[in-house]
Amino acid sequence: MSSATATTVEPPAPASVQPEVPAPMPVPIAPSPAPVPVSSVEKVKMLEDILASKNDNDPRLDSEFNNLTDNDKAALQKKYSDENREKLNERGTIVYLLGRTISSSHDLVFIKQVTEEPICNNFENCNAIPRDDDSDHTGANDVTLAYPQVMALKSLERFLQTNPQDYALKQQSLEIVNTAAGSRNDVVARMARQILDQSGQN
Amino acid sequence: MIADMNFVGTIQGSATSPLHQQIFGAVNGPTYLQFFDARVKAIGLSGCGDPNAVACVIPMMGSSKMWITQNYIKFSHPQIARSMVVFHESRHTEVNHGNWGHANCPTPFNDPQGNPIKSIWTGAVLAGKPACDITPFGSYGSSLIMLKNVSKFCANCTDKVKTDAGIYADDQFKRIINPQAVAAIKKDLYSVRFQ
Repeated sequence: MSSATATTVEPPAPASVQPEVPAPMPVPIAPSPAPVPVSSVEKVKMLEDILASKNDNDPRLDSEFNNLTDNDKAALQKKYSDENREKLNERGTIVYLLGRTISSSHDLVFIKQVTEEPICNNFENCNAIPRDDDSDHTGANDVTLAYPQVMALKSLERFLQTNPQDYALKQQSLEIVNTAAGSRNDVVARMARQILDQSGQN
Repeated sequence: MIADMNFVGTIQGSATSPLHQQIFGAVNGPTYLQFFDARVKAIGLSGCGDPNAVACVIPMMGSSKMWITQNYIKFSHPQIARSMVVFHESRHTEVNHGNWGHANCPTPFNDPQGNPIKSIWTGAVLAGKPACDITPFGSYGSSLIMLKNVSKFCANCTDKVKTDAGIYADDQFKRIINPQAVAAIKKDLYSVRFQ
């Protein structure tokens, strides 16, 4: 015998009533403040920090040293001069940064000076007598000892590959490379000759 | 060196050349670290018998041990150049390949312009010295292939790293003296001119 079970349906619990809150007025989003120009002093300090870390893969090398002002360039060139000659990667990095935007004869004056510097003879003292070397590692050592000059030539190579429309700058660049092709340093001379070959100048 | 290996371990490549695939695998950090760890079981400090050496392997003192000199820190090499030397040396640990011993450079040993290739500061010519390779797979070949791939395909390297990698790779290419090996590397990496 089934029995019906009375089911009491309870009314739904009253929804909690919250006082109606008006939608907040949209807050105008302030435009992002324009990036504060980094002073030349700060850029040099930033570079010093990067170089001290010995991390050549620091992304700031790609992002923070573009569109260099004349003051920036002057500050970096001074930094180059102030660095000991044995600081090969450090000096070469500065040349690299400065050589990325060759836009004036003044830029090329610095590049030219770098290519005409005496090559470092010895990792511990550039002026010391060269040390004999296990021929196994000669290649890498040779390139590093001439690294600032190599970077200067690399900058010229890249500049010439853009087929610069400024004839005077192009000719000035080729003259620097041509002089470097006569260098007593094999790494420099060889690289310069390759650039001249690529430029159809050899 | 730890920092340098950490850097190498982060490399991400957008492509890989066939020779690189054959030697290492893909252009990426885990591949490089695995390659290194499979070969180098210990690292020690030594002068390596060479005042300019950064690193070396001395088979008589353990083929799977790499020795680092104080020059690794003292000398101002670009980071990718230090890494290149480490990977060059790691290839010398492979006993089953005769430690990839170097071949004697030919006599005369000239660059494409006909100028003798020599040690810059001693002036000593490299002709006749065990400072060349006849295969793309030896220490010079494998390290230049690694660096050239980094130069071409690293997707997260700075332009400086990629530029340096290209410079040092191109220089190492001079040490490959076998015409077939040269042709194979040219086809693998130099067939299209790039920056």
